[in-house]
Amino acid sequence: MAEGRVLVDISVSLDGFITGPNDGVDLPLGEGGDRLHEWLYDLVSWRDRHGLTGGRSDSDAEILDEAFETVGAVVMGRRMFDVAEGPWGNDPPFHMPVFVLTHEGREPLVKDGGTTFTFVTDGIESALEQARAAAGGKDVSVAGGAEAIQQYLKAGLLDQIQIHLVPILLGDGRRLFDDLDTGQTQLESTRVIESPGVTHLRFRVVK
Amino acid sequence: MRKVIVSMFLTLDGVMEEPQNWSFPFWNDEIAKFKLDELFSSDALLLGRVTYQGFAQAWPGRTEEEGYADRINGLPKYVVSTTLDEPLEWSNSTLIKGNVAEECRS
Repeated sequence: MAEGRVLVDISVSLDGFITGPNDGVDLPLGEGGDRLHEWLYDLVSWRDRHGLTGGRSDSDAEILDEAFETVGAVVMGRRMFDVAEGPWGNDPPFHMPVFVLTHEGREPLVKDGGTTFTFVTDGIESALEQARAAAGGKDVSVAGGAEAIQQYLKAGLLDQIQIHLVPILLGDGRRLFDDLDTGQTQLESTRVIESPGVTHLRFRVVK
Repeated sequence: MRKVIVSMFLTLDGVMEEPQNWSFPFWNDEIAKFKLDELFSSDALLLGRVTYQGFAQAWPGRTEEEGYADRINGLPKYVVSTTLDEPLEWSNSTLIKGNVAEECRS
């Protein structure tokens, strides 16, 4: 079976933040960080994933659909899981296997709608290997947070980065591309789609 | 009052420093036209000291077919610095020592 790619798909402020300041369990996206995901809330596919009806179907919605369709499994950091588990409730929006990077092992968590959380304690490569196996040839998405994405980028394991560039300066928060210490990473711009509220930038990571 | 525009070369991770060290491989005709049009639609340049000193070394005396060098040499330039002293050597350059917002409005 052909192997899928390893993707990052994430909303980022013009100043490079994926959350506002003071994010935590009570404020998953930090102060003002909800603005980063505003472009999603009206879309048919986002609403459908979150048990809501109606919404817009336009180029933004197509981009989101595309992201859902090509991905067969998700990897995320423990912190992201911790802050978002509550808001996600019993039917998290993934509807596919999710592998959580952690230092503390725990039993897998089975949620409604086909989302399972498997906790991986033996590193990012093991998590990716398990996600690839579960994805059945589809892509694996590294959902976040910033540290998990940085680890995969540093290890040279990412194939594609899609940034949804939101026109706001958050001023502070968690930076997507921090602590890379890798020198330069060459990217090839493969697609740019402009929407009124957000610009979708896609890059191939040149290896 | 006219708009104040910031137009920067920026890496995806947000670095704008020393573009001469990394931006040249991405240069193309489209960018050249954009920068040329941008310069010709501006009436003045607002610069910090470091950028001013870099430009003041690079641009005077240069000239090329598109007219970029002539235009940038001829435009009024306002340089924000507390350490430089007048007169500034690059043509049509004026020093702003303080009250940046006030000076830009006037």
